[in-house]
Amino acid sequence: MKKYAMVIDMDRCVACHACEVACRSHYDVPVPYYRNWVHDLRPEGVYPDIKKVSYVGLCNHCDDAPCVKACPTGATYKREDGVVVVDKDLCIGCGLCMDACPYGARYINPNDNKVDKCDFCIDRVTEGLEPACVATCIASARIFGDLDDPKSKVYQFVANGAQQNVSDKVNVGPNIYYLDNHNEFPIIKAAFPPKVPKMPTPQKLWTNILRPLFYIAIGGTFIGQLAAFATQLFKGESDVKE
Amino acid sequence: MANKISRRSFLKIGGTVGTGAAVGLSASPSKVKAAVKRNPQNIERIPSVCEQCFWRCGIIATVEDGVLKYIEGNPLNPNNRGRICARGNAGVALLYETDRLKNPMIRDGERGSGKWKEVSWEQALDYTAEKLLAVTKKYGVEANALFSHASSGEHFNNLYNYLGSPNQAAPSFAQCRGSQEVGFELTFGENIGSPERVDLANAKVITLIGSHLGENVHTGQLLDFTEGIAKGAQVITVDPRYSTAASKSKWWLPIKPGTDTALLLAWTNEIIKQKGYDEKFVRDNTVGFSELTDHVKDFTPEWAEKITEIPANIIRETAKAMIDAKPAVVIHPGRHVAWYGNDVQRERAISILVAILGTWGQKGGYFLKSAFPYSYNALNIPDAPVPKRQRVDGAGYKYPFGSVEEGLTQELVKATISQKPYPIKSWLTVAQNVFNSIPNQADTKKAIDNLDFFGVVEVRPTEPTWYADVVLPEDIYLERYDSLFTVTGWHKPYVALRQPVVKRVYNTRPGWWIAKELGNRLGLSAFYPYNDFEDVLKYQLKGSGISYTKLQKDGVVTFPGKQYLNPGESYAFNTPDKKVHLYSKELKDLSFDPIPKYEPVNDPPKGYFRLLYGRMPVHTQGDTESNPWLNTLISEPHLWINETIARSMGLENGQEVNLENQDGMKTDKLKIMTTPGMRPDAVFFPHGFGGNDKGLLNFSRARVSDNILITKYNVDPISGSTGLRVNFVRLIKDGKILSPTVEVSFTGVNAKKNSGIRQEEQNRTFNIQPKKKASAIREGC
Amino acid sequence: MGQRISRLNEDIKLDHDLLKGTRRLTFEEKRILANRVMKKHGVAGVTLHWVNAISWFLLIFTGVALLSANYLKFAPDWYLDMMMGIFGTKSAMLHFHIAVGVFWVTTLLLYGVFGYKNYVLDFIKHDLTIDKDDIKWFPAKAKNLIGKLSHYDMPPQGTYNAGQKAYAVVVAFSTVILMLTGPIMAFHLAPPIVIQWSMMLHFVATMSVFAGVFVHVYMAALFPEERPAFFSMITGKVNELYAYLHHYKWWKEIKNQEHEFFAEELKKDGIHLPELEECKNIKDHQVHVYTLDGEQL
Repeated sequence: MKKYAMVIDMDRCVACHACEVACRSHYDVPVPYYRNWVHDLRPEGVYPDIKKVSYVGLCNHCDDAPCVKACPTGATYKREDGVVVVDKDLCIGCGLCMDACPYGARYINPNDNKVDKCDFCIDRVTEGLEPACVATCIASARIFGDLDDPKSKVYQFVANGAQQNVSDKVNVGPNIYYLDNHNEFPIIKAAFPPKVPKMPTPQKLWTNILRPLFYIAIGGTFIGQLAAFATQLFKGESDVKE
Repeated sequence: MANKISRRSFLKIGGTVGTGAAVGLSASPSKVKAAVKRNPQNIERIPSVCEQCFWRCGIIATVEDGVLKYIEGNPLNPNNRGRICARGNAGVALLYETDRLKNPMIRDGERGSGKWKEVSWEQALDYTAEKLLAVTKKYGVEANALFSHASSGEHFNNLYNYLGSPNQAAPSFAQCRGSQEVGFELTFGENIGSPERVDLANAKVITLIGSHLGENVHTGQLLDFTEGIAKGAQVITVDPRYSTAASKSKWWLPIKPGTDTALLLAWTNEIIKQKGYDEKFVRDNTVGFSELTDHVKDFTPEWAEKITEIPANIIRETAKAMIDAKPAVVIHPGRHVAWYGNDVQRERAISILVAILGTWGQKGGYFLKSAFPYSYNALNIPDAPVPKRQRVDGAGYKYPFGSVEEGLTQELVKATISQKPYPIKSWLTVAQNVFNSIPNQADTKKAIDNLDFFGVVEVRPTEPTWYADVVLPEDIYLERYDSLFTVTGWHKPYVALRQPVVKRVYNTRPGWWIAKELGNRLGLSAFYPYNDFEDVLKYQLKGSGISYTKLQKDGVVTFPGKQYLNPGESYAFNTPDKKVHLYSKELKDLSFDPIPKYEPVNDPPKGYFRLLYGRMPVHTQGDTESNPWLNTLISEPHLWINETIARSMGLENGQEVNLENQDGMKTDKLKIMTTPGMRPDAVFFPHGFGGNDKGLLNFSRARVSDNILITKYNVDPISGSTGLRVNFVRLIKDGKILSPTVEVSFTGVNAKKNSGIRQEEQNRTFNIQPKKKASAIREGC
Repeated sequence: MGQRISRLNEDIKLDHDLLKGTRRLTFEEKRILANRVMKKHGVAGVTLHWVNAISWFLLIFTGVALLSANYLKFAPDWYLDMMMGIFGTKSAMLHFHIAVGVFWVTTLLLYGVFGYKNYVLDFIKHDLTIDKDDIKWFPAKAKNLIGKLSHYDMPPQGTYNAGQKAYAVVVAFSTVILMLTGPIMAFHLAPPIVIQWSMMLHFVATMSVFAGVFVHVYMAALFPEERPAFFSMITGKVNELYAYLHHYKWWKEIKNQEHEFFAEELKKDGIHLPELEECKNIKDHQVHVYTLDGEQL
């Protein structure tokens, strides 16, 4: 089966932001939300050693996607080809997936109050086209393909040292890789580390306190009634005594 | 009471439950406004040409049920090869932008009062023609001036030619590329075109003098540039600022502003000294080499170091790189070169290097202009009249090499104020924001006050529209036809068609129609023997060998091009003696330096910084500031300033300051961006924001245009184009003038980068962990 | 006429005695009372109960199956698989859940709006009021269940005993919460933070009712003494013995209503029936009964 992934060639990328606008255009992403992003950092460093980098990001379609685990209805799921998608019929807009995503790749679309995010342009890919961001890139800096295919360009880039944005605390198997030959990627990792997946308070209350309590309560009443019924069977029902 | 359920209560209960059931069954959670899933009946993919900047990439517009949904690059177009930039993609947002001009308007109060009455096109055109005829009658036809630009401008240039007025100017020459064209024409007998014919994809060394390719997004050129980088090209970026290009460079030379010519002369000196030039080319194709050698003999790297603050050994090192790589060396001519008013000479210096390194017509150097195999049918119209009076802007006489096609905008402004040699009494501007493109806004405003008539053809309510007597709103490029785009100076020559991709959204009209309608009212109907511009295009192509239907379907027709000279082949340069002029007799005859000299520029006074400006990748000058899709990426300019200097003034990144220039002009507050990647004696102001464009309602209108601060300018005596980088600014915070308390030296080693592909990592002193060796996760799977 | 009065006499004799307070009944008295029928719930009320019950059943059945995330889910995996088999897709299950939910909410709202006086106010009066008897009931019932206390000695209860009331309160609160949180989630009416709290409250409300439902069903359907209660939810009627024994205060209320009704009827005949409370003994009451001809009975 396929394993779709993308490589960002940081050598080529000039942070022109075309990919952001193409994505917004194709999927009616309302301003100010976004499905993909280019966060420009100022040139920093100690003269004369200065670096100017930008964090080009999108949904990582992680191998061990925390958003998939967080979705209460199963609206967000990982396809067999690796793409993580949102089934709009099932999404209730609770945003638990947003809190779970280490990369901030999701947003709530105000037009339907449901979660939206990059889906690797899977409708285009199925027709043999490239994702919109890849197709528009004027530096040819985005490479998309099947990581399971040794002949693919993404495979070769990864084999040649393309890195993922992971940290010691968070490594959920992202499938966006960054090719960096100028020691610039550590700056990105330091400035935009993946965040530990969060669970919001109401869900924490439910999972840690309330659900166990209810298990006990329901189990308790069930057992209680069972006991009472047993007693009743034992006692029998006399018409006269009643 | 009966035990049975009465009929009434059955209905009551049944009704209740039944209603509940009906509502339940019909309720659907996804009935709310659909966000993404679209099911259009009719999908069209229509090719056209973008006009979000002047690169004019080929695009394909996807239109669903008559609504433009997205724009992609046309893969057949050799310029952009299927890709487009942020602004091109954002054309969709422009089409439906609510701040667009929607209807013709005539002012209903004082000029600048903002009181308008909406009128019909008939009324607006009648009014305009009436006013133009009135000025013609009272002051002569040449008293009508035209400020034009872009594809729309061309229709009006024709109109004014037919009218007989020579007073037409576009900022593209005098505020942009003019000196580059002249410099190269003087050397090679031809200009290097727009797009510039630089073979970046195959170059081994790319030298950028002030060009910030990467933030300046010309799609086709950027495709080539990144290709070159990926193939291992070494880049030398000469820029006071650490631009995106600098971040891709092996050498960043943070040159002292205004001293580039010294560097170029030192390179010339070094290359000649090391005999690193192409001896055969120099011998066979150039004149003036011995004069050149003699001229540069004292311009050593040590001499240049004192001037440019670039170490001599770096100058030698970079010269050597160029020597070793020749002829696959591109020394980019720059595009906006209107810097100091001595720019023709700087461009001459660049062209001399280009020549002696033998890069003309060579792979990885400058490629050749190709012949276009066909000619178009000319329209059957009379010849345009010869103007009776000379043009007032000095192009061609006062400024001998000033372009008579593009004119000199600032000179036209000055002439309108001075009324010499004769009064200019009407202005029509077409796709040109005269307040934001021409320096010294006060002059422009004064000039407008002198006019009997000021008309504007525009798409958005930019600041000049507020002072207009009549506003004629134009279709945007997605809604109209324009002339064919014939490009011969690119990898392959091609012709591209711009055609409407959607029905127009507002009550606007295309430029060709406005010009024609005005022409008819000005008695020029003989020049407009057509009703539909498409007929013109078809007529032009008839018998040419290019099929209009193919053009409609594909958007572009390409032809084989000859980019490089064959080995041993000689090129017949278009100069009188067919040679490359290292020494320019033409200039000598006009009492200009025949070989460039370094002319110093004034340093900023204490406490001031030189005002530098430039591009952002998501905006096109002032055209796109209010485009919602682009505005959400960058909505305001951030002033680049040296971090150490800023800190010494008590400033932190992101704080707001006012800028005041040497003439006391002030901007509103803008944020600063502190970085070590900026020379301490200059600040960099991204160009393109307001303005104070009163008609833009969905966008902030702070007065934060760099053009406000460009009140002083030099004029290049050779080309007539302006030098805009001669203004100095200081920072004011909360009413207090700030002054730096330290000095920062920028001499010394500059950033060295490891260019090339997949190479071993180098450990640096910068506190970054060394990259781990690539792990063999995937090998052998 | 005479027949009616004589019935009145017979019944009133017993009624008036019992109205003094609960006491142990003789076998004959029990027989008499057991054969009399009282109407406890109207047709609309009965319908409401079953519509509610069926809706709840379907909603819990599907609702629990919708929750598949590990940290939230309530049902075991085999149950989730089974339900997916029944519905085919999660989407179908969700649509079904929402359809039933909307149906349920609509029905309740119709009752609530049009039947405000009869159902909402009635509910508040009977289910949401507490008195000393209710508080005493809990320990009493506990003792009763283990056989240590006869139900004759239990504190008299109203229309619904304290246990039923407690459950009704839980169901009422849960219903309100579900009527709010359900549509909010189903129709995307709020930002994520509200949806997150709605989800949690939705589960809490559901599970609170679910916890009590076993008791409710057992007490109503399986507990022999409460058998009439179960049938009252079908026919709407209970026998008077049950009413007297288990819901004395309600029985008393009905008797008062009967008395008022008869008093009205007899007034038309010219016979004046004193208030029930005024009768100190049967004799007193009988004294006031006359035939139409004026013949004292």
